[in-house]
Amino acid sequence: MTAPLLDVIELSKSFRLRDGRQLQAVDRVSFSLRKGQTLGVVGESGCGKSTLGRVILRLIEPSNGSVRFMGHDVTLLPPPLLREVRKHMQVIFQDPQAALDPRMTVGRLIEEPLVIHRIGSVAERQSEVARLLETVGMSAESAARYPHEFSGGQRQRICIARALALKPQLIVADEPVSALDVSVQSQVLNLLTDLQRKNDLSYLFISHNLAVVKYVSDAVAVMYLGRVVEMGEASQVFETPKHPYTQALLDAIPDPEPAKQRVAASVVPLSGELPSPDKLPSGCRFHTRCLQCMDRCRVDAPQPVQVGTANNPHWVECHLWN
Amino acid sequence: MSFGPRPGGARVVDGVSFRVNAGETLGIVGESGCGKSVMAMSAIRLQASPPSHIESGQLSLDELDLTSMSRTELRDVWGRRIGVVFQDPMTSLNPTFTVGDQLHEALSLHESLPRSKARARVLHMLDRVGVNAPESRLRQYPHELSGGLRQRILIAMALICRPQLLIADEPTTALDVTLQAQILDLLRGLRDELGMGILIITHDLGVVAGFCDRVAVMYAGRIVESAPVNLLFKEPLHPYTCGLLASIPRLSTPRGIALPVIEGRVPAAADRPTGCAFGPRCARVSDACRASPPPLQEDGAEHLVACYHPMERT
Repeated sequence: MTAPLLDVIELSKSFRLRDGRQLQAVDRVSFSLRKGQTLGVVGESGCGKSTLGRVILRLIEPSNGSVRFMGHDVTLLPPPLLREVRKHMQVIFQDPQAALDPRMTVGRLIEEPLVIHRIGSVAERQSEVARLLETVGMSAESAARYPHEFSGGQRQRICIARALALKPQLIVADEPVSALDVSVQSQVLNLLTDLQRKNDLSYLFISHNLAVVKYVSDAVAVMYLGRVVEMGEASQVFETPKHPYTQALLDAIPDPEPAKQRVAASVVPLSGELPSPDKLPSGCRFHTRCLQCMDRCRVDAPQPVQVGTANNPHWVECHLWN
Repeated sequence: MSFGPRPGGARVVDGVSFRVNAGETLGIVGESGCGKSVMAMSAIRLQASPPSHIESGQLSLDELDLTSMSRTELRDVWGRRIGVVFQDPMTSLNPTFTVGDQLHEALSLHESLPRSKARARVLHMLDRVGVNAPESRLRQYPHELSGGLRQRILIAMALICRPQLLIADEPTTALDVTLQAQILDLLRGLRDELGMGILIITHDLGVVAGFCDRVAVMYAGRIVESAPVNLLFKEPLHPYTCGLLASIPRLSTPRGIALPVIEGRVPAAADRPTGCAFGPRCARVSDACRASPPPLQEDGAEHLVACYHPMERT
């Protein structure tokens, strides 16, 4: 077995609110990701999944814990070294409209990472831009045009081309298809899968769409209010979910098959809303919405329990499995 | 329906017909820009004119002919007989008024009730949509509420006069799945209780499958297929519907298998082809498709499709 490309150990991030209270956005999260693999991170809005992605890239400074990437502790690197390591970790955001400067041509946008890292001559960079555009399924002539001339799906392709410019090892994809139309989503998902296979890329794939996450991921982490409450191989987590929250999430997805839904309509939907992360419930943080809540859940925070096998770890944080 | 400074501009919605029966839910699905919202809003004449113009067609609600109504007459119908829930609960509420004020306004525009009775109606409605501690909510401003609560308030506003028809434009798109399930459950309950018809606009085929009785698929301003929900999912006839259904990753989709895609993209309203608008993306395209758009025709009971070469039934 190869050493992991990315090792996240007890990573935490808290923000200080204006009134002095702490908001724990990411709470002691640990996982590792091997080369060529995808870890999917799912959860509802406000669960900390995007913050997690940003802290790993050190776009936000972590409060605690460490991120080991290609043998370096990213959290401790001084700026010049951090810049070197950052070449290998890139990001794709949800909204390609907001991620592309409207006043730059597509060519300049894709070239920019190469310019910043002083890679290649002008001519070499131009041919690289043309190659990258073709890799993501666009014509080389697009380089002279501006982002507004393209559709949402094409803009996301431009973002992907830019993320690939430095030949990274890891791409953090934060809701990369959520802003796209259904028929375009599948095009971009196919592209991401293809690129992974060809370049042995690793993805940290953040999304609220469980079906999409299951489709792209080897392993999956389910987050709730900053904590990873369940993690394991994707097919296991989705087929035999152990945490009541994962089960509720899966029940809540409307399946595009009417027959299945008529049966599922009898399922009690998860009641209530996500509590505010600045007022975390005591004990297990899911107990306020859990249908199987027991007395000890209200006072006692559960520890992660291994419910899988040594070869196939599956962690869950719930008293039901203690 | 066309857009432009004068009638005769870009045709956004073209020759569509649909009907919503009492107690029934009709779903309109389609990708962004296909004209689904414009169609629904112009069906109740809620589109501002200009820039939008209804070039031709008939709109009616029960015995009422909406097409010929004046603004004043329409204002009496909107809110009282037709309720609307818009997509974005953030921008559909007025940030400078309390929730109570806005709910009272929706009611007092159409019914003159003594204060105490009006208040009771408002509180009852909030209770129906699952807002807890309704009294204290009345004094709050929209920014103090979460997205799910705001959406419930909007639904309460739309339903407070017990309309016959509810138009819901992507009512759950801005919400998380668990909240979405709650809101759809709520709408289902209220529909059965009030016997109203619902027209729901969505791009989520999962929502359609679980929530609607009938569904109409739109592409580039036209309805290309319409059928009872079970039939449409079991035997889609239009190549676009088929492609759309096949391209969604589901929990049962094996990892790594390439997803079937519909190549290309939706044409803009201003440069739609003369023939079938889906033609350029369709594997079954022929000269007939390029010459003129296929009409929406019945193909078996209640199943309508606009295609010269529909898929074979299995």
